[in-house]
Amino acid sequence: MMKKTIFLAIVLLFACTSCRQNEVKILSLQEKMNAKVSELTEMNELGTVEYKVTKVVKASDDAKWYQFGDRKILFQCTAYLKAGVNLNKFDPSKVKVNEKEKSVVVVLPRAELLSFNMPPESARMVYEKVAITRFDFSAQERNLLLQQGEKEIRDNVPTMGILQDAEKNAAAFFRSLLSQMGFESITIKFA
Amino acid sequence: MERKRVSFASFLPVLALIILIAAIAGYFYFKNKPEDEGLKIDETANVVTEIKKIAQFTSACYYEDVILKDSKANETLGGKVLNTFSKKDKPLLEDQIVIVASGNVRAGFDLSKLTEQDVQVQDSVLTVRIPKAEIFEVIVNPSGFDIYIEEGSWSHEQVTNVENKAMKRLREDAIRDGLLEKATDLGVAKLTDLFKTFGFRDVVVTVKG
Repeated sequence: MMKKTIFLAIVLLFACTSCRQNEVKILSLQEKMNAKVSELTEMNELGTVEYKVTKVVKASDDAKWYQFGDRKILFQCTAYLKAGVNLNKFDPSKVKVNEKEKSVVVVLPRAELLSFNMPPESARMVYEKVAITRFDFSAQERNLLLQQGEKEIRDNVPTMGILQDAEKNAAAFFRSLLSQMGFESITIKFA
Repeated sequence: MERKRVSFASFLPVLALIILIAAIAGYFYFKNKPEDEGLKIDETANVVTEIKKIAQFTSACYYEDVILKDSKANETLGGKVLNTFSKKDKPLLEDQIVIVASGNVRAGFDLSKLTEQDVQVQDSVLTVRIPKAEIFEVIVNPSGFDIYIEEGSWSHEQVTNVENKAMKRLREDAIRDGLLEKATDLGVAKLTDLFKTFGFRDVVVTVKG
């Protein structure tokens, strides 16, 4: 009788602890689903260049002392980066117009990265090898690896030359536009 | 008083039971725990494969946290056997995934479509006809995805399908909440202000029909 009681207690305890975590998650999920979190905001940005960047994201998970066998995974990823000028930082007082000479001097803000897009379908898993003694890579683990790939591309932005290209294209865009507006002498600066 | 002698053999069932419970507990613990939270990627090059000149004026952006839930019949051998006894629409053993996608939708005007005829100046009055507002992109990066619940085994393609559904819903919600209308109104106002700084007496910005 005593043995049966201990056994039942252990089973119940085990069942409760394993279910509790999911219960808590599902409750807070329901709360989240009920409250739609969204926002519409105004922007004032001129994107002038788009870079398509590809990267191989690979990871090797070698066996630890308590594991047998390795796991390896490899993704081919593509990210789209847009850079340009944030016109919220544009200072109209720095525009100098001379109507008689048909000249204009425009000072634009320095170019910056405006958007970074690494769509799910652009992250293609091309190789995965998991020893039979190990669990497969979970969706969460795969996403954590892709997040690291995303961060590496972002960190590389200053050395890519995208900001220089963005300024060059922004200057060309404003020159063309101002020329269509009738200006003959156009100076574009960045500050 | 006679002492009852307990043999080692009588402990064997209890010992076996303890080992069994520990094995089951260990299985579920390691199954639900990411194998290695400190998994790091190897250093690889970032290769720029295409450079495109654009002129996208973004005037509005929609942000949302989309929660998407999906389920499928368990694909393990045990699951397949058990699911042969289930009804068609509801498998007995199901895998579930819940993904929270935090993303944004950017909209505005593609000013590369402006032609010479679209920009006219007459008596210091500037008239600019801009193209219709459009959605430039729906962005949810890996850092924007949170795998909230993951039960069972989900392949990369299956997860990508769920993520794509989240992106589609984000786009639909943005349109339903008036992103394009807001982008049009804000864009016209912002461009009018910008063009006024170039010294025109009056600026008229209209959207092509």
